[in-house]
Amino acid sequence: MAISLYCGYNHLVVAALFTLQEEEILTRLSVGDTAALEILIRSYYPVLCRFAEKFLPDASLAKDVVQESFIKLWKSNKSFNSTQALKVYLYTITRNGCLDLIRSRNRLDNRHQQATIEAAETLEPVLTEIIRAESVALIFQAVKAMPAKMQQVFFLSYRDGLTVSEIATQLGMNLKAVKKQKYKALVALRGRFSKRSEPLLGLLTTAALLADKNL
Amino acid sequence: MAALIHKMREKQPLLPAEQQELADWLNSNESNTQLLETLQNRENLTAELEALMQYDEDNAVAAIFSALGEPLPAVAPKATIKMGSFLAAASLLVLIGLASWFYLLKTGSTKNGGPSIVYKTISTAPGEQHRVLLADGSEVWLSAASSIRYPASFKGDTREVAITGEAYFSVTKDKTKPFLVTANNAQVQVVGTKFDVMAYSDEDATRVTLLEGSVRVGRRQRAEGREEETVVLKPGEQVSVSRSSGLSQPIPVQTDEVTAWREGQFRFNETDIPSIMRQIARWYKVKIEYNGAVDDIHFSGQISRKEHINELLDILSDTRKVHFEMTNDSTIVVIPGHK
Repeated sequence: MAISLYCGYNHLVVAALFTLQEEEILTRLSVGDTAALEILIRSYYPVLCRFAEKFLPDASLAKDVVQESFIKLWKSNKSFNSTQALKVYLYTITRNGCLDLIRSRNRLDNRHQQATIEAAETLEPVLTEIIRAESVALIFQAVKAMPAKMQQVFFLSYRDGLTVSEIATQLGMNLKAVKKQKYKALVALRGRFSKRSEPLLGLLTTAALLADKNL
Repeated sequence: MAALIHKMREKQPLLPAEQQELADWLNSNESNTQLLETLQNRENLTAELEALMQYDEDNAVAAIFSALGEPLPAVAPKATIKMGSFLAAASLLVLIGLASWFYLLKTGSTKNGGPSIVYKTISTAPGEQHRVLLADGSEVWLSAASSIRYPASFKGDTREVAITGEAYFSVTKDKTKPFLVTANNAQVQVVGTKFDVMAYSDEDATRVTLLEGSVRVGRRQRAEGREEETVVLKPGEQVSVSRSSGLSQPIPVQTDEVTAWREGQFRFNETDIPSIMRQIARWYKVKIEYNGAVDDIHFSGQISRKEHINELLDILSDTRKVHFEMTNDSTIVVIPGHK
């Protein structure tokens, strides 16, 4: 099951888009540079934890599973030819880690958790959870990279629906500064999905794959 | 400023062909539609972002490095990598999800003139439990011999589901779309919270127990125009709605007893024999008959649901207050006193 799933995800890897930074991460990982591992943990640990929570009966177990995933990644000495492949690997071992954990608990409590396992073993929800995790990750990483003030402005505007003047009052900033921060936040988020062709290509590939029930 | 944003908007409108591609993709799978709805819901997306913010990466880095026996790098790199989205579809979804904010449009309630709602029903057999994830991210744990009916996606101004049997809810907060649970003769209205509803038809009343947040419970009225009676629960309280006496006053209860089934346990706290036997009947798929009065016999204790039924019955018999006879068609006869 685990192996066939891994192949399944691989087909989803579409339109690899390389940036210098990504290539650098991969190269540095492959030569065992711990700084690259740290950057990877900082970028992906929260995202994988949220992903793992969806498959576990107790959300507090997610941290351990995900830490174990990074440990496995490091010990495996695997090399990846794209960050996409790297992410496929991380999602797969994290999900398998969740299943292993449920199974080991199952030995103690057999009948009760069977339904949980069956739910987690179905491919379709897993794919949806990955798309969900990736979608939220895009925004999360953009928001996280924002300076503190910009982040505040983003949350007050997006989450609380405050107007520019309301934000200005609340944060004790002048109108112009708030507008500027809001615009910058907008640009930062936009930058995450500026390339038009890839999303559409991905969309079609994903649609075709999700429609294929034999996957 | 507005002109700038307008320009950005003008630069990248969806072309008709792209709109079609998107529509095809959304229609190809129900979960795609659900996902889009989750992302379009501000409160939901904010909750996701805030949950992600709460994880402590410093701790994780320290824990992982120490497990690997590697020394920590001297300077913590502040940079995060800009990784291309591995499922590039995600970026388009996000784009659409954030569109209302990008375009600074007011998010009014979406018009509901679309296709009719598709409902799904999931049921569990005796001895079975199941977790269901709803379109808004809310989670429902179905207990044995129960069912839930829910729309594939929540349209309109409310989120409505109906259950039979027992279910535990963890509802995603959305003040603009109240979450309504209909169970038997009771209706529960929530915004975002955790609670348990027990509405087995063989119980004398439907019971709603609140663990977190706040819920409003009402009796379902068949006749129009009658004043609706409702009760607001505080955490740790339970209310029952019975056919005969209607809505009860909230009473404090041991919530761990109510939700023990989620942990795979039977937990009894001065529980009377008929209540215990109804739980046994649902889990082990047996019929129960009585030979003598047992209503006044109560038990306290805890036992795992993975134990064989004989184990459980033996423990109850050991008290010498009650004993059992098993007939060959999986009926258990309950008799007061010891053999």
